[in-house]
Amino acid sequence: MFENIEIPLDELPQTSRLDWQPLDPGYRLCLLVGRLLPIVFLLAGTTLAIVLLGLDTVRALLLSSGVGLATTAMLAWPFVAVPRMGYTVRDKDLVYRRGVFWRGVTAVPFNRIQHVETSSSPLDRRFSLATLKLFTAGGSGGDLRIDGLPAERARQLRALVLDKAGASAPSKEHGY
Amino acid sequence: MSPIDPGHWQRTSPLAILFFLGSVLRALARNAAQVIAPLAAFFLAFGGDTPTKILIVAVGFVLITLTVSVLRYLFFRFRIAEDAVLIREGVIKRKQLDIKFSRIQGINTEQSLVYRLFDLVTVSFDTAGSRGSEGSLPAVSTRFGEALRETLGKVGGQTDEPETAAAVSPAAEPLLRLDWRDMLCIGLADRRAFLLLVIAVPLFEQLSGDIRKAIASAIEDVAADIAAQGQATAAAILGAGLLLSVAVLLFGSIVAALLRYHNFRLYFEGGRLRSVGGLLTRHEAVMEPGKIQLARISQSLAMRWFRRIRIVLRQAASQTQSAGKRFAIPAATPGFQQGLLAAVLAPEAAELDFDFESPAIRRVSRRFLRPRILYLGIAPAIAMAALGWFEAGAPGLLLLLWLPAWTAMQWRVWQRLGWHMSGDVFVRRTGFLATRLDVFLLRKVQRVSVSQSPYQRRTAVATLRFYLASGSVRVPCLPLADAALIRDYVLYKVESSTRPWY
Repeated sequence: MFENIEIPLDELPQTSRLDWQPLDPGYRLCLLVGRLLPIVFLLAGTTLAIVLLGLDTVRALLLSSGVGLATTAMLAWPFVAVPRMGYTVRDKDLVYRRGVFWRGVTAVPFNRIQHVETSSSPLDRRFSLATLKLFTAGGSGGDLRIDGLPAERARQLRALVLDKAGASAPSKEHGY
Repeated sequence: MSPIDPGHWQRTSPLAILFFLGSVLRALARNAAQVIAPLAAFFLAFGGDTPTKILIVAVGFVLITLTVSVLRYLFFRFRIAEDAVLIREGVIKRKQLDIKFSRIQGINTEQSLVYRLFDLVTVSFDTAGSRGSEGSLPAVSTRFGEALRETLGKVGGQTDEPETAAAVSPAAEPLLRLDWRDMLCIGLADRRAFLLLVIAVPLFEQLSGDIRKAIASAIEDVAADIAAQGQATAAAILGAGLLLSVAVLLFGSIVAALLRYHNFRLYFEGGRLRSVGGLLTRHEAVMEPGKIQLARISQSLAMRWFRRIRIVLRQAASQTQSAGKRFAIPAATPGFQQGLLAAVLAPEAAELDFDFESPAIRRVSRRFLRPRILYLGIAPAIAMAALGWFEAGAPGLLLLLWLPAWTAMQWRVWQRLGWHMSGDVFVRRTGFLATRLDVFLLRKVQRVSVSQSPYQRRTAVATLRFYLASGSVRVPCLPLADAALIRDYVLYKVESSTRPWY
């Protein structure tokens, strides 16, 4: 397919077969807790609607079963989605995968990283989790963001990525 | 003696007041709403007849804008230091701007009619990671602008060419020169002409009452005449009116092209691309080939009739800005891109075919078509036809025609969609009526992703997406194995590249 290259394509490092590092198991619980408040509002709203509007039995049943289904999906989602997220750190890049129905794998070479950021919300901190964000150049389509990392691991990764990015940058005297 | 004096703070020519006047007026226009409120207050609160008040406002307006412009000119100083351009400006809010030479991606100059009389130019700098061009030096001498460009070329450029002096010699032969036929083509191919039509209608609504009444009565007279002459004539006159307005629009569009691109010349010298053009205001843009992230070669329908193509070279965009800075070559003959890209993307792009119909271009999987036709073709056609049947009976079934129309459209999109890759360069073709080629060097890629929808997973195809500093390039529905291989190869190219991407 690429006739003019001498590189043996079969021997290229393959991104398809990787040992994916899972996210922190506590991340599911963290997501779940984060969803409790909206769910409480949803349920309260539904109850209010049924009582105040005086819906008949059939409609009330229909509405509550719909809401019940949505609630179950919201509660179950972290347990489905989180195990399918994962990342791999290789010598020269970081690869991240996500998605249950629509799946995607994104690879960010270290020598293209502009800066790195870790952050954690109050809820994240309760579960000692953190988010790692990798920024590359250009404003296109958001940068790589890995949620639900153990806080300690996020710090390690940030240090590692910075180290690798600094070492592999084409020339450091350029001011950006 | 070089006109650049690194030691001292300098002022620009007093004519820079014009530049500041322009920017003050623009700022006023942007904040027009805030200006109207005090104006209204003034008119309501104070006595006196209207003409006097208008006179006061006008005089005040002129005085204030002039004073502000003069003050801004007086407070504007700049210095070309060893490795940076230093600008100090601002009357009340002081602004200190230091632009390192290494951060400057391009220098553009603009010369309006007045400046041309006095041999002055406005120099503006494109920098990485800023919104629009960051700093500008209004009304410096042409000689200074050229010397500055030369200095920057020596410091910041990664060019190996020893004789940068040749860059400014006027004897250099242009790579491309556009004539009046090209202006015609640029004007006609400009989509903005038709946008203008959309804007023009409400504008007409806002015309002052008298004019509108006059026009309306004229139209009424004409309409009465037309009515007297029967429907065929009416239709003919209506058609003629429509044609006339389109013609006027197109004419305006051509004039705009002429204003911007008259006597457009493109040079490739001293390792840099430079374009000059413009009827009244002369625009000059410079781009270093190393900064090019993506080259887009496109041909709209109108351009195809004229046998012309358009080339846009894009630089890196910043986080806050959706589109990066661009270097446009508004018209060129097909085939021109071959030599140009081979030169600016050298040495990597030397032997590649950049023709729209290049046999090297491969189509994506035919599975691209199925979900589109199924969900956006068959399903809506049946739903619409069913609805039409209930509402209007048998004629409603005509809505089923949506399916063949949509299918033909998607078929065309699929046919145009293709890609081609050499050891260092990726080419993607897209288009429906127009055709576009997006070309980039693999080592300029920032990150890659491969993604699959549920349908794509069942059929083992995947969408490949390259993120560049100037935006992303997406190739849908490649066979999964190919997508993975390309991804791994591009990662290898990026990670083993020692050349800078910017």
